[in-house]
Amino acid sequence: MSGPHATQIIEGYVARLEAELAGLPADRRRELVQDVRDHIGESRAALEQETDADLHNIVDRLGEPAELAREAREREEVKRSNGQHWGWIEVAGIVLTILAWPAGAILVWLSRVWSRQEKLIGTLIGAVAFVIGFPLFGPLVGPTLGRLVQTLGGPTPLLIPTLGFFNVIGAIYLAFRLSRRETALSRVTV
Amino acid sequence: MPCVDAAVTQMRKGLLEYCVMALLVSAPRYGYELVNQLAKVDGMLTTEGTIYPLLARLHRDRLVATEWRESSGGHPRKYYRLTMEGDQALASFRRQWATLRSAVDEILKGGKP
Repeated sequence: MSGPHATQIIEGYVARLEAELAGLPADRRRELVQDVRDHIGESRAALEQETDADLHNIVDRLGEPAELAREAREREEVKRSNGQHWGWIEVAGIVLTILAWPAGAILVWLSRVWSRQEKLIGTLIGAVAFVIGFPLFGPLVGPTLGRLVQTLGGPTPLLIPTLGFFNVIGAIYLAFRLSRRETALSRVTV
Repeated sequence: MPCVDAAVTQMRKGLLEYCVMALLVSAPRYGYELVNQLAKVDGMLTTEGTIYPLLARLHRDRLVATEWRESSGGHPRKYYRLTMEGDQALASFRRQWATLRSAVDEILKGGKP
């Protein structure tokens, strides 16, 4: 026998939980809501005679939806900061910032390790060289072509090493921020 | 004393992870069963629902594994079991906990540490 307002009580609770969980990844949300529904199902099955009061007790013991959501968010954040190590995207981003700026900048923005501010500074320094180099050499090859011309023993305009210099500064900045992040992280996780 | 309360809440939260893992040593268990086990011990689980984000986190960290099994009532249940990594984490916690507990007890008693 169900309590007279069983659907109302349970669905009301689940709806409030779902609203509080907004902002979490969809699969986490689904999983937690399913776990809570299963829990309510088990609790109801253990009752001999179900009343509305029993159902209120079940959802009260589960806790306020806001508290569950806070717990879910905290557990999620711990996980994310532990997993924040740099990989090939970051290495390629730094190397390509020197060699082929637009490709490097795209990789830097794809990475999740740098903050938005760091990305902005790191790529803007490179952008200076790119904007100056664009009318001279075309979009992709700016400073790289200059160095190639030098190696081949061609004419060496003074501008070209200067352009490459900006990109190197941008790359050094990004690498420096990354190494700072790594030390801070290892201190937290150890 | 809100400061003490916050500290105790954080401590309980951290310890709860290992209590859950310890309950899984003897046999795989499903969520509702774990809640009932923990509820038998006063003060361990203040809100039952918070165990589910915790279990999800242990699962993502591969300290526990899950498996669906059919219950006698005819509906499937998600069982949690301890993995090898979970077993190692628990063993390391057991050692540190023993040291920490006796150290804190000594100091609280007012004896020499």
